[in-house]
Amino acid sequence: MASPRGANTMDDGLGLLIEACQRQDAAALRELYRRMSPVMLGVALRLLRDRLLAEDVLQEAFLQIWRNASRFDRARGSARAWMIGIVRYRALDRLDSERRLPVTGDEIPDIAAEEGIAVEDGRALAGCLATLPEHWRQMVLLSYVEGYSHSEIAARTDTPLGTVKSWIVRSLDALKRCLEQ
Amino acid sequence: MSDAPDFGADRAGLYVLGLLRGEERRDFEVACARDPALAAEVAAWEERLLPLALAVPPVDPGPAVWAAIERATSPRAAIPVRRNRLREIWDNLFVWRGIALAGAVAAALVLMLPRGATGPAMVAVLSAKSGPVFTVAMKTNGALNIAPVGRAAPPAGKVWQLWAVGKGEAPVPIGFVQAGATRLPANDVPARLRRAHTLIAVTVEPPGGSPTGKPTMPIVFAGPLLPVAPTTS
Repeated sequence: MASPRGANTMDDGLGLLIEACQRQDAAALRELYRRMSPVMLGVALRLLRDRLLAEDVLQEAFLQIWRNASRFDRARGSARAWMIGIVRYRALDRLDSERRLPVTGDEIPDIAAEEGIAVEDGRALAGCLATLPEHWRQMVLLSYVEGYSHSEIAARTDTPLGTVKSWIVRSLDALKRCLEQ
Repeated sequence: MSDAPDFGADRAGLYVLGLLRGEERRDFEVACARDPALAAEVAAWEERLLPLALAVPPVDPGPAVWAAIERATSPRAAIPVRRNRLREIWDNLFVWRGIALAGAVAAALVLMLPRGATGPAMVAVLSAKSGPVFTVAMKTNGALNIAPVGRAAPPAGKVWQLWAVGKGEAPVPIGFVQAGATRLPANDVPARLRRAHTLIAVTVEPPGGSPTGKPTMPIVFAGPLLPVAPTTS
């Protein structure tokens, strides 16, 4: 495979690989898979909590990446965000159609503790999340990372549904302002 | 209580968080396909929240996953339409929910159409959840007349591709729909699909149509063909 051109440091060449997939370059797809599949499976598994389902979704996501590579537009967003988006929406499709496995109270995963981990360009988001009230932050994480619906969050956190909806909308607003500063 | 949230405020953010579900999410995706500004807001939220996804512990997939991807993308492999994909189309809630409405509108349409040899044999109303978008009249030879119900246009730089979907069959591309009236010649719809309940569906595709010959995007609107005269069979 051709060595990546030096210009593209923002996404470590992922964008070039997706563009190579537009030209039906199977080696590029394999390289994308090698680099992104563990992260994507991690995300899908966290949402679905079922290994078989998550691997199925991962497979669908890569077929979609292959077929829809021409939809990737680096002017719109990063290659990583595009790929993660594809696997997340596929997983959310499954959450819609499969009955979600019940999770007991002590299993509420707390990735808030992980938010400070060394993620490229993640510091701004981690800093902004830290400015949110604890309950708001928890709800953002329960939805985005764990795939909880409004009503699941309400039940899980013993908070009225209207309050959950309101806090999440306010969290989004606060995060957006904070990140734009 | 004054804490009733304004959900119009940031639908894109709620969508990316995963809080729009089912119908609501599909409607939002249709809206995104038509509205580049909304799609840009979604992309901005995907970028903002991405570090959270990247903070989730990675998990190595088993070898069967890549093997299946490789099989499906190999040019040598006869590309089997995945059953899932077919089922998705047939199970698509909004399509089937739209059918009750489509049936009523199609029945009204039938009353307004000329009868006899020159009239259509079948009609369909292609509906999104928001309502009918196009009416379709098909002659027995497969010629189609497609007329817009209101004003609609595909997203900038994209086209509307038309498909005929028989139950349990792969979608067959049958042409493109313009924003205004469209006429498609006889025989573009295979004879076996010129029958009641064949689903006529539209997806948003790149100019020139889907490069794979299969829909690359979810259906934006669709409706089943219904016979104009009661069938005797």
